[in-house]
Amino acid sequence: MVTNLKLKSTYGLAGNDAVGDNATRFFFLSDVSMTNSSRGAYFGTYANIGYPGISINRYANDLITWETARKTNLSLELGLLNDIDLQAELYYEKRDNILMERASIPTSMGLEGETPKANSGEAEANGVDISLNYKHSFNKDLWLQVMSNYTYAHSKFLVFEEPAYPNAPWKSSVGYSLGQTWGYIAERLFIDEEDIRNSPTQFGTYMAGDIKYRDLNNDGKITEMDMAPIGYPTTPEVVYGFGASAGWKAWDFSFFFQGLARESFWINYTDTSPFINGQRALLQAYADDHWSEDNRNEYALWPRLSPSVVENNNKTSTWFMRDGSFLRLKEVQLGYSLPESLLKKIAMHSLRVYFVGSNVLTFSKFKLWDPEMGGNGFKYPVQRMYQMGLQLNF
Amino acid sequence: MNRIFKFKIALLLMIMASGFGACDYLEIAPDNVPTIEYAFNNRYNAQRYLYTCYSFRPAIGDLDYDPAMGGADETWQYISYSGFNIYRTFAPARVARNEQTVTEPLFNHWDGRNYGQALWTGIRNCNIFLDNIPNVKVDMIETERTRWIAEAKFLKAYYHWYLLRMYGPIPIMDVNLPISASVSEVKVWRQPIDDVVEYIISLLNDAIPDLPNASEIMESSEAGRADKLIAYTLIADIRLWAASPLVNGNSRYRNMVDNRGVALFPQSEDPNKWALAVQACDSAIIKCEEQRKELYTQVEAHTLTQHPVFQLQSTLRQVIGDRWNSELIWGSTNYSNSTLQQYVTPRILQRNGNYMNDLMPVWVPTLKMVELFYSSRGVPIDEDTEWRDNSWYIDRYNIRPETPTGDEVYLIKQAEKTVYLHYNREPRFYADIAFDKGIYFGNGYYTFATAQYCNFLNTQWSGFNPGTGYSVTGYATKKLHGFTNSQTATTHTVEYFPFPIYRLADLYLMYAEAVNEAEGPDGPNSAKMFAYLNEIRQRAGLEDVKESWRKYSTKPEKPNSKEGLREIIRRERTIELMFEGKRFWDLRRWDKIDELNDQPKGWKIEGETPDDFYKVSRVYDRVISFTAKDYFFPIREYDLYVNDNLVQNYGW
Repeated sequence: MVTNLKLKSTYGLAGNDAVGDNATRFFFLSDVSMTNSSRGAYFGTYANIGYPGISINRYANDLITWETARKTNLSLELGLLNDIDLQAELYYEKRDNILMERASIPTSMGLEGETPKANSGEAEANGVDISLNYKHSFNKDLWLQVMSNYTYAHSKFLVFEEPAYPNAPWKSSVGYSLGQTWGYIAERLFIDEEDIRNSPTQFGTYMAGDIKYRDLNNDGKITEMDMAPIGYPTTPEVVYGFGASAGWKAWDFSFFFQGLARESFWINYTDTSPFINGQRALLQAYADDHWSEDNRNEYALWPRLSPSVVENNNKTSTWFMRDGSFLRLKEVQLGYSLPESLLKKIAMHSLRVYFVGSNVLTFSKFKLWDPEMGGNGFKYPVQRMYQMGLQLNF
Repeated sequence: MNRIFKFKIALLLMIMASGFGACDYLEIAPDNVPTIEYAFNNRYNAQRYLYTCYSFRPAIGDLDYDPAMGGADETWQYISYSGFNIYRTFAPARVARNEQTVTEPLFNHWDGRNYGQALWTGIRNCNIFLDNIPNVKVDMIETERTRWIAEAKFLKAYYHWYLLRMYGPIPIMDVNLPISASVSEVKVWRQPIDDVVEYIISLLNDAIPDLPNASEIMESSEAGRADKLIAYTLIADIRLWAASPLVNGNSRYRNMVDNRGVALFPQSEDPNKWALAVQACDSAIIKCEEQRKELYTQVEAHTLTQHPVFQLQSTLRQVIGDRWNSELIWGSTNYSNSTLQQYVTPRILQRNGNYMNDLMPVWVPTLKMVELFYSSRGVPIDEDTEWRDNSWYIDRYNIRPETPTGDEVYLIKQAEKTVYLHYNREPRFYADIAFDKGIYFGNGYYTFATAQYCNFLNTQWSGFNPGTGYSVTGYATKKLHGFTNSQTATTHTVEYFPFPIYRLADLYLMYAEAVNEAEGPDGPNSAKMFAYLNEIRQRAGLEDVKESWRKYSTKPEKPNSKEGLREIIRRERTIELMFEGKRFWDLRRWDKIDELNDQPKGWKIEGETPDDFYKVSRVYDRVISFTAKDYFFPIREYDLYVNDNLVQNYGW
């Protein structure tokens, strides 16, 4: 019955010294710009005798070291009846000495150039990776193959150098994914001027029909301090796929589904705003459902229309946040191969006629455009394709 | 045993040898990356580092970057609506309109954001310079090295002072914290005001012996760099500030205590601080006089054959415009002032019915400042007996039916009519303010016959005219642009002058203020005090303080009491130093922020006839309301999250 069984476990320490990019290979040395005109000074009768000055891009820091990752893997291989093949892997990684910007250095230090970094971060990641395949020939005319895979990956910061946020604990990155987004919590659209007057102050000039945000720290104004972790990470935590192929006599049929889950994306307000620069088109969905003087829908899809980008609405917020999960029928194929008896008559090795459809179906909560395109629906879309084909071998 | 020991030694040596070998192999430093050490490898580079230290000087007198220019009630300007950006609005106007915030403060010199210079970075650069300058070997001359060290110390003190005046208590950054300092080390505390004051002054005293004398500064290439007189004057300014009501035992700030329990403001008034201020001002004046500084009294060559009214006026205008003159102690050289001159100069003549669009008088005096200037007899217009007896004061906003006669024609255009307010004023009024129908002597027109005049009525050449920059009050300044600039119907030229950061008259007025506060009008220094005040008044064509008040004022006894004299000195200071970026700080120092709540006013600039024009009007449609929080600038909210040892300023 059990044809294959393997249990594997590894534990290892890995160093990562690729902590800077190529340009900053000598990370521990200081780096200065010897000619910076904005740091110059000029004197004399007409205040025009002087030199450009010197500015510091990076300070010397010989305490920089590599990151260390402790990796644990546990995997299982299981084969049943020569037909079923299961591979499962669990992993856990804890990384410390992560090189990160020192957010806790106050400006009174007087530093310039890039923010100094220190090996102060700690994060962990864990996940599973499963694939399950089934393959069987029932007789000489009928065979079946099923495959599926599933990955789940989750990460979070354990230690993150950041300011103490005594009045805004939601600003802290600790405990959140490395791909977490912070943004404002949108409540609704402003109803009228009265509503605006009675609400905390927001950004730039805004009026009725613009987005109203929640004042998390109750200080009467919407500021960076009101940004909270919103949505799932921008890279999906779950990716999966499944499909099957089957053959019966001269016919063959296959399909494959692909999907992802636990991902958020944001409709790009700037890129999809209508009328910008006097030329951008108006999306039908926005035309049908936007706030206007006659249709003061405080939960409309699109806020007040404007010929220019409204700074107030152009903030990362839950208003434009969407669930990026989808399941897609990536490919479906039906084929017919001419029997050998016929082939011989026309002196051919093989002849197959087939029909393929790509991206045929997509299941998603997001309907405006293909969710895989992310925040901007005006880009070149994922294409749906149907092909008829003839495969000839002589 | 012995053998084993030897073996161990050998092994140890081998390990060490291989270890060193490995280190050498890995220690590759690139040749082409300039490091801080490289910036100090010869005199030339070190000098550029010194200039870098200088580059952080706040742009005193700049219309955009100096909050004291236009941040108070001296001037006003319209709001620039988006889409009409050719009419510039300068950033200080936003302070004047009380648009300051804690989330993104204006003129944030703490962080170097939003029109602020990053002064802590400037201080760090001074410290880097001081740490490394002893290592410079190539081409370095020792006398120069000591001078540069003194200059860096001066700048470090100056930057601390600028922050102190803006924020009150500040951290002292005498040495640089290392880049790898722990989180708790970098969270510095604000230090009590008295400690910061003493620190800055000791740093300046330390620098003074090695700073050059004013006469040793080579004007052609070095004018604007620090010298002994500037340092002495700075000490005087700081002592005066520390003695002033804002910080000297002000009860408003007694409860400002940090998380260590340290009180950041003086808890009680210390009258001795005024004595220290007198001393500091006195020694600065003595040094200035030793080095032949004197009030500017030259008569412009252009004017020598002209009427005395014009002669005096040209002298008064050239106090600032004649570059590097005998009165200037420290001139600002870190920006070009052609922008300043462009936006303060009124159009004084017409071009074929069109307007010169490159002259935009948008930064203009308020009616309040116009009224502050004395009468022609050197006393306030609401105190002058002549103004009372002739009802000129009551009628000051009314048009005088009689056109100018006698010497008045040198000040107001013949056969034209204007309000009483513009007649019978002191020479500084006519030298500093451009008003409707006022003669504009100079700027290319140096005789009575050729002199132009302003016409601020709507659609006239100086006045409101949509499509170009205009004055929102119906006035413009004559003060902040050169007397020798020329203006024709199609062009104008600009003569450079360094904006005065300190000039001798300022120092005299500091001294007078300190002496009166320390000992009143009859103390041991009073003769000297009145002598300095009177010197300024004489230069301006006015009689002495006591004489003027006795003869012409409805309050003849005013100079004889401390309170009365205080008022006189403050007013003299406001008039003499008007538009020079002093009043913004003075009002704070005097604990008089309420002054800013007199809503800014001007004439009705849309008026096309004198009758329509001469109506006192508000020039801003919202109500300005400054409160006690505005004495100091707010620290950006985010900084308090990063460093929770910092206390936010009062009221923010």
